[in-house]
Amino acid sequence: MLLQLNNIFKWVQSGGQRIFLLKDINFEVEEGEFISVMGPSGSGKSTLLNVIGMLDDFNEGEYSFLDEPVHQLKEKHRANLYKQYIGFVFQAYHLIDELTVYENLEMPLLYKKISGSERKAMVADMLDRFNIVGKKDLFPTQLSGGQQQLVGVARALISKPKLILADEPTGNLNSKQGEEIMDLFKQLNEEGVTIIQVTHSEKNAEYGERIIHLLDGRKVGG
Amino acid sequence: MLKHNLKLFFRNIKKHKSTFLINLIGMSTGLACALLMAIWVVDELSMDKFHEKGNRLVQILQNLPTPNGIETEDATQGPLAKAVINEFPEVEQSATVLNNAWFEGERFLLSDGGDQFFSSAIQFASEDYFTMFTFPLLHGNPAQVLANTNSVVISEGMSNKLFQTTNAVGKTVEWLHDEFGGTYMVSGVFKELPKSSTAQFDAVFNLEVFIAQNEDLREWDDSDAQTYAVLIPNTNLTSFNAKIKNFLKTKNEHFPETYLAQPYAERYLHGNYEYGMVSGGRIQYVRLFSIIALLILVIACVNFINMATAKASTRIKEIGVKKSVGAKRKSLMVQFTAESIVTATIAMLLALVIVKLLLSQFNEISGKALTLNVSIDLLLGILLITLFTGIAAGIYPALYLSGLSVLNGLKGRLVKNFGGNFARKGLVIFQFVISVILIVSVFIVYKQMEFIQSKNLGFNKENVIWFSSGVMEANLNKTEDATGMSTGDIENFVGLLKNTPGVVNASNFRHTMMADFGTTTGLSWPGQNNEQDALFAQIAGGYDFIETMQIELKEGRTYSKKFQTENEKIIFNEAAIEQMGMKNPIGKVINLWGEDREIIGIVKNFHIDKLYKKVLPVFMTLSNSNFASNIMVKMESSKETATIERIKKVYQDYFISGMPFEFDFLNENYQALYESESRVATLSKYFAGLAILISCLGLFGLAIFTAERRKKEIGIRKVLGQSAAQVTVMLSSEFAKLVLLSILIALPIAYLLANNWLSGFAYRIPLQVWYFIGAGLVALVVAMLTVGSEAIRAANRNPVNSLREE
Repeated sequence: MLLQLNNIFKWVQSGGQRIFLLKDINFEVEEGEFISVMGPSGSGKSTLLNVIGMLDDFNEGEYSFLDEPVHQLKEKHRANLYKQYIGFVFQAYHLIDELTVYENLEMPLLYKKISGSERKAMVADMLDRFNIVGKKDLFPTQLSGGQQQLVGVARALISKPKLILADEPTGNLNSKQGEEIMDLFKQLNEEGVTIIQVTHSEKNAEYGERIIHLLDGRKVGG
Repeated sequence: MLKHNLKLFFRNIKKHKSTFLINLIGMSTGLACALLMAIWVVDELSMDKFHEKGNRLVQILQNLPTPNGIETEDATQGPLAKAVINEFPEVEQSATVLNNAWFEGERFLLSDGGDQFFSSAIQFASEDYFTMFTFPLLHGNPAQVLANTNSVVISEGMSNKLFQTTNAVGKTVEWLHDEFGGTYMVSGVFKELPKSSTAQFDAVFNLEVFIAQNEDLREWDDSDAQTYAVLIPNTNLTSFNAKIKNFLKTKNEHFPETYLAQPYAERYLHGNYEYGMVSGGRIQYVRLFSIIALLILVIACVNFINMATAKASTRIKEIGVKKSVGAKRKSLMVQFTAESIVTATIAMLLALVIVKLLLSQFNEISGKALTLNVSIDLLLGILLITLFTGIAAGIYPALYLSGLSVLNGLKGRLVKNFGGNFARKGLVIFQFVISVILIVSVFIVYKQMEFIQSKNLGFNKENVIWFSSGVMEANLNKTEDATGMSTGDIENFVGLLKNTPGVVNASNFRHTMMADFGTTTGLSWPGQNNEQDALFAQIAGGYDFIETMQIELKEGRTYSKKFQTENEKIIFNEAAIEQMGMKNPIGKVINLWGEDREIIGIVKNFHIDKLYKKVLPVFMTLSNSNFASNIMVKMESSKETATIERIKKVYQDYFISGMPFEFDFLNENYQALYESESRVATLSKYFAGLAILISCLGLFGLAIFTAERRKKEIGIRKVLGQSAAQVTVMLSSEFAKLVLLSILIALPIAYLLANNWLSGFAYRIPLQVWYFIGAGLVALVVAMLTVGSEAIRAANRNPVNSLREE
């Protein structure tokens, strides 16, 4: 089992009232799964993804990742955990505009103390695999949205994570570009990478083996 | 990693050129200022520190009880040096010195025996002088050079001038002087004295030469000479001072003076004395300027911090992304601090260029000859200042930026209130208060200086040169007759000058008209009220001196050769007549110093003293003897250069052709009277410029910050129909309020300061409202120009963008 959420609650205080963002969420993810999270705006999809990705805290409940109790870990330990096992893909790509494609791909490796020659090999590998060798010296703003997201996925993959968290990865793309990215995810999943994606699109949700529906912070199906 | 971060740094600069430029300007001006002051401070601290025996070298000073408290003087008794070495085992060496301060800085003429003379600063010293002080000799043995009474030690430069070689040992020097004049043998040549030496002289003669003419130096009754001593190693100065304090009593128990030994190297910075003890001195300025330098640097850093945090939004995404892929806070902090150090380094390079350009100006203001010499110390200092500035400016933004959470970072959200919106505004107000005060100062100081320059003094100082004929006495003394120039000599010479083409008039003067006069109460007049001691200023000169100065005659006549016994007459100015309360003064007889004198003329009032004082009552007497040995020459305007050449020729024909002709322009002397005021003027100009610049940078930072903070509000306002122009006005008025508040705080302070400064002048400009309103307007306009662009930019942003980000 890759991760397990038990009775997760998350709320914010507003005007003396608790507003629940997540309410009693329970589910498990096995390695190699492809899960889609769906739900209307404000249903807590992104919050759930951020909790799983350890970017956000929760108020109550238990979360274990690879049998480590995340809720009990120190900040530093938690950071090490997600750095090692989790890759993020964002709707807005979140590439650093001042760095070239090559440099953007290289960046996560810099924070892992990987030697120069090894970095070179890993980046070259990714560029090759995603067919963007010719674009390696371009800046993100010189690429189309689809190409940028390709780089975003490549960056998430470069540190060989077990789990990829994708928050509406196709939200800013046209349908053809979106399809390409989804096909890529499918392929990655087949190669053994666990994927959890948040999406609005029924069609993209179909790529997942399992669909989790959220409404008002509560799991309503899947 | 480093390569990556450097790339990010430079690409960010490229993208946000204006921000970087503003930061760079702010920091480099701050650094340049701090550097200039640091160079000055280092120079001050290095004064007199080069003597090898410096830690043991002391000067013995004398405390004299007076009705006004204890006065501490460096003049001591002639026999003191020998006495201390004989009677105190702590004293290893001692020397008596008579420096050129005794001659009030007068320079003397030396030649190689020919008729080419060079003016030089002279000092007398006893035998051990060159072994106690480190003034290295190029030629000659330090222990021997002052052994003989007819020896002289000259400087490298003087040796080159006199003999065209530095090895002048054994050559003879001729000194033209009525007391000490004669032939001396060069026994040594010392290396050019460093600028860091307070003692400056071109030639050192044996003290015995001086004593031969001033026998009182052999006695304990008079205090003329400086006494120096080298103590044996590890002497406790406090206990030594306790021992020598009452030493003079052992010579004569009636003498009230006590002694105080002070380390020689300390005297320059600690030269003030109170109650017979050392109490500060220039060190206070050194401390003050160090603090100011630090303050400027800190303000520059704070502006940098403001700017960095205000511009944080441009880096937020980078931080979020980096954190999401596993960057630790520490590595981000290192990155941002390093960026600020790199900025500081670039700013430092720019600052060095600025310093290089401004150094000559700065030297003019500070009266120093500072240079930017590459030395290990300087490089180390620069490195330290750069690091300090870089870290000081970078650490807060680094902490702040690196502390943003990943989610906030990715969403481009700044933490709403990160402390110090109030502090920001406070800083801007503080900076503008200083600016406004300085702008007012510039206005007022300049107006007053202009007023002083154009003030009608009651005499005409333009196109007048003067020179001392003191040297002529010496020259005419070649017949070994010590009476100096005769009245005839002077009259002949003045006559020759008057006949020189281009000369309007000439006369001899005892005084120079530049706050230079005698005062007396020894004057009585018919009908005088004996209760009062009336003080009069006195000036004296030859025939035509009133005409040469173009002082206006009100009644009667001036001195003229047509009349006899003019020496027994007197001329007053109006103020003097008023003081005496005399009606119809012409022809009346007054008594001056026991002699009756007839009043022959009244002149209109003129300013003989600085304009700090009211017009003084002045009387003028005729003095065509060699007491009045300053020659003044009034020239026709616009032909001065040629006329001066002709005057020089007359001078050198009349006397020895090798005599240097050194003259002063009277109007330059006049400006020199107000030297400290013009320094204040120049300084306030620079500081005002600097203050404005720094204030604007601070304000600009605040403007950017505000625009960022209110981005959403602006977006909503625009969606709801407010026009860009309205938004611009709204944003600008917020800053205008701050600046107006600063002006309100600053103007009363400026008014008090200005009033205080001007009250030192008896003749001053009236304080006009527009100086203050003008200064306020300048500040306001500059401020509005600064924030205007940012306000317009913020107001014209597409609201869709700012709203979508939320």
